[in-house]
Amino acid sequence: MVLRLLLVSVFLPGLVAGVVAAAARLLPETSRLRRGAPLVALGAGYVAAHLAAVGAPSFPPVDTTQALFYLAVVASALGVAAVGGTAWMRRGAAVAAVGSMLGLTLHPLVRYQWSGSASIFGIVALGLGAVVLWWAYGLLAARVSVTELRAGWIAVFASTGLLLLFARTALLAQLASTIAVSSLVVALVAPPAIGADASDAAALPFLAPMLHALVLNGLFYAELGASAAIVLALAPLAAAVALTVARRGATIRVAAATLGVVVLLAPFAARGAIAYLADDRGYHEYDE
Amino acid sequence: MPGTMLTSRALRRSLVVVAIAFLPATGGADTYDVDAVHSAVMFRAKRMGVVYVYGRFNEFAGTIDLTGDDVSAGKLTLEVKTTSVDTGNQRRDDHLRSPDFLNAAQLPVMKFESTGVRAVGGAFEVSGNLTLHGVTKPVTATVEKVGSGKDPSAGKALVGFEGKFTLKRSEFDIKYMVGPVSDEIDIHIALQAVAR
Repeated sequence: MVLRLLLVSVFLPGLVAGVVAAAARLLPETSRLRRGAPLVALGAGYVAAHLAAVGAPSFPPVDTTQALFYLAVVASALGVAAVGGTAWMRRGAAVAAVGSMLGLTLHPLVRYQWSGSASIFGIVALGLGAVVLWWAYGLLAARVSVTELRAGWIAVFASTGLLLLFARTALLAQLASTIAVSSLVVALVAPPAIGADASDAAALPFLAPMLHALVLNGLFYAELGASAAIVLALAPLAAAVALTVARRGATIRVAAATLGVVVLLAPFAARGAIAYLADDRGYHEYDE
Repeated sequence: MPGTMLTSRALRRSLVVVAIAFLPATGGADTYDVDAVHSAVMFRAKRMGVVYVYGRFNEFAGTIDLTGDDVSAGKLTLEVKTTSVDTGNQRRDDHLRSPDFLNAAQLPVMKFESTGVRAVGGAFEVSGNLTLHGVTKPVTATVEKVGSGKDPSAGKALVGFEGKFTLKRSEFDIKYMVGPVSDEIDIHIALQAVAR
């Protein structure tokens, strides 16, 4: 089982994302696909991992876990379409990605559980939250190096995987972890971000909606607590706080970006781990 | 728990829909309500190819429509709350309810509606549509009539059936961990129903 998990969650997405990112180096520097290579590579890595873990999803998806597959494709495509575009094109693509994320993630609640007014309030509040967070992530992207930014996001998705496992969903944990692995490979292999917007180079148009979708899935359909969900959504910004302290040295700054996220999420991970280990009934989600 | 409200509302709505759809088809038939106290919806899955792990669903409701003793003209509707899965281990039950398997918060009801009954020897083959995890597929169950009689206290007619079938969970888009947990799931249903 461990070997299978490593294959599906680590080697496969890493290999696919790495091949796509490396192939982008062959494209001309001005090419949109080259500048959007991190987005394509992460999308391809996720799609490969999702297919290997649970096979091809139905269309339309039967649940919001299957919907993550389509969100990955849509987010990558929207991100690449907006590469090199005007500010309004980029905003439009971001709003479309947030709308897709909300629609694909919240529809069971709107259909079965929330009243009409609760649906409107929930969609507007979560939509505004997602847009504001994305805007804040973008501000951060403009202030730090692409490497520092990528380091922070790798830590965010690795932590998301851990917290989702403690929320009793091994599948969502696995899918979050594959994004961390793909992000690491893209950071190592992707062509230098010459001429690319910082948020494109760090693949924010893919990472932001995927993070929000995974967190909302954990919150509404698994056992992820509200406080952990909020902190996970804020976690990418922790890198910026850490970087105001560690100002010098490239390696130190990358470590600080990672550590900022880890320190923020450590209490939640510790609390989840204690509850997870304390509830030992002879069954573990990965044992099967 | 978000799934609880979702479950009860969806179940009520589904029952109303089923009841309305059921009315014109019943003709002169007698309708029996499934008595959940004296019935069981059980399943087993093979773990690691080594052992069968057994479980049950504790909450379900349904009706059996019979014309006299003619079982071959009968109809069965059964709705099961997926949140009520019970394997005797709370942590495993939470995992089965999670998005990894049943995704009970989003898909709270599993439903079987028979479409035909065929006598085979002393037993019956009941064909129907099973909706599980949001996917509807035809299945055929082997069913045996266990007996019939009268409820000694209420005086109402009773009838009992037992049936079983095997499904492939991957066909219902429950594909996580196929291999360590078998794709084939054996379902075993024992029903006592009470005449209205």
